[in-house]
Amino acid sequence: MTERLKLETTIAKGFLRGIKIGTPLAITYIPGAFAFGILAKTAGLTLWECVFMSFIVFAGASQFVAVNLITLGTPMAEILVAVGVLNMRHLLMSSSMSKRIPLNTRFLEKFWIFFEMTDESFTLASLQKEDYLSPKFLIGLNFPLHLTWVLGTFLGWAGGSALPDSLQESMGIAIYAIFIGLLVPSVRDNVKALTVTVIAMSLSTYIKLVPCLAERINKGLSIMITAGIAALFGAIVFSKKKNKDEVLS
Amino acid sequence: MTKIIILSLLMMLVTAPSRILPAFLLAERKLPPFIKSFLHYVPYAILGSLIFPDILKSAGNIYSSVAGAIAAFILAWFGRSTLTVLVGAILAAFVISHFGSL
Repeated sequence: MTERLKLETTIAKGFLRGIKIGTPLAITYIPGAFAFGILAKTAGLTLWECVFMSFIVFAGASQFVAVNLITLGTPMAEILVAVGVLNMRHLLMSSSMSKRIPLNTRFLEKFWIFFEMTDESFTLASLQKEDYLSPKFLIGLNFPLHLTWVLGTFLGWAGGSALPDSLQESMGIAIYAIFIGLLVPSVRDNVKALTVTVIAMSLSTYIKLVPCLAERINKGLSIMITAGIAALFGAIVFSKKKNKDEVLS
Repeated sequence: MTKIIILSLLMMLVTAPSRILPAFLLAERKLPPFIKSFLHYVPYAILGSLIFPDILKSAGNIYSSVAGAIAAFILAWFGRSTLTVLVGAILAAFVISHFGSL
């Protein structure tokens, strides 16, 4: 970061500003949360059991996998291994995000910020322009996401989906629209970041296309492997001094 | 405590550490430039892996998914707000899947 010392360090602040930035992303959690509530009900979970799970686990894919395995009568230990492996990708995200938190962040705030971190909130937060993200800003950003996930689970269990099927199906694109909305502006003038992104895309497509890989590697593991290799490529090939116009440092 | 409550607690115990531990282990440590550079590229790489190829079947069928993706890309390229990109993509996917079923 030495080459940046001349520039002013910027920091994203404000609980309310965090909420404002997190809210469009929270909308994308609605269909998934409903679907989880419905699936949990079908699997025989009580309302409070699935709401409790959504609150303390707060990991979409893992919860779907867990409930699915419960229905199949899978032993608890096996469910935990599957869920643990699926979530190892967060090691990578948390490591990257840890460099964007002010050093004087209090223990509990830090704990809560990272406890609530998801794939989506990580990408949204880490592509903010500012060098650092204040704890209040991040807690604000995560708040609507966590709330929507828990509330949507509740509503899905209690009332089933309120959305018509065709609209619900089209809403599957929502999260990807947000991802593209984040990605495009930050890579259009940044060839290095674009290269890393395209490598990650190609590798994860490759894993999906090769049957013997696709059978063995779940989504979580695939993200960790492919994103890890792509970022490693970036670090090796573009290791010379970074341009100042790069957004992140 | 029901079996599900216990399972949920245990799931938290296997998912939370991978989110939390790096933050406490790395935050105050001075990392070598190579690792810093690696971590700098992680968000872009993660986004790439998250988007592709899953986006191609995100909206029911491939046509509506591609339509939504293209709409999102164009709106994002011209710097529209996240909400505009979101609504535009859903609308495009919805319209195409609707015409597809006619």
